[in-house]
Amino acid sequence: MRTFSRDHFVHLTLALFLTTFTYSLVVLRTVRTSSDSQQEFVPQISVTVAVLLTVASVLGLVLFLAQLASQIRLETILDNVRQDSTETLRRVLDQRDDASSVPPATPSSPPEARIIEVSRSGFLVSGDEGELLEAACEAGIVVQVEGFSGGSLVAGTPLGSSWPVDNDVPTPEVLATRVEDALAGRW
Amino acid sequence: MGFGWGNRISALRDSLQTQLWPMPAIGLVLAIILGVGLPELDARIDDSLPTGVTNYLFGGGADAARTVLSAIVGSLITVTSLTFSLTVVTL
Repeated sequence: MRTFSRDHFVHLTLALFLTTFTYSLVVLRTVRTSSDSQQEFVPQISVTVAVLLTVASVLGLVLFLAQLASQIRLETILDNVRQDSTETLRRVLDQRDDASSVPPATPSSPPEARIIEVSRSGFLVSGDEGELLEAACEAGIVVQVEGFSGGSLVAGTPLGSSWPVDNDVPTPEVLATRVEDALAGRW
Repeated sequence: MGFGWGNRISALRDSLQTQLWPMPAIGLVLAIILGVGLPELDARIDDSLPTGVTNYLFGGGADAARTVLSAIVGSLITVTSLTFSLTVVTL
């Protein structure tokens, strides 16, 4: 409701409608038919203006419907949500220095790296980093996870990769399930 | 002093922007002023207008003018309520 009532277009359309309505009502009061006591009076300019306002209102209605149709589209709603949250974040959080916003360099995976595949489709809800690190240390390997919280997972596509620290240590099979346990998903 | 003034002003502006009534209220006041003023103007200059202008103006009698205006009033209030309902349904 807030998003919608903040829209200036809705305000303008309603204002135009109510203006035309009130104006016509007030002008209607001044129209007089001729009788014994009074002369006939037709406010020609006022009636013409009323007709023009009505035409403008019809145009406004069409534009309002078009606007409404575009407002309830999913893309527009999502974009509005993004804009609102960005604005709120800007207001609440301090601006970070440019120097500290550079992400630390990630190690590039060697060609012999094993790819961790996603077993089921869904969304990545959260990742237990401690659990992941423990599993990696036990197996003596490096685990690189490329998914992020909230990202979608598609079965069969790579989520990350793992490779041994020493080349002779083979990657145990158990690791895949441990990584999967550490990364909670919603399927 | 000075503390929170900017905040208060921005809060006021936000509440004015998110409320539905201010702009229609301005329109209403404008409509009443126009509705009182234009017939006055009509009463003064209608008889002295050149024919080139009156050809484009409303040319019917009092009954016709009344019918046109009541048609506008009736349809506009319907359209306004329709707009409101559409707005509420979309939420």
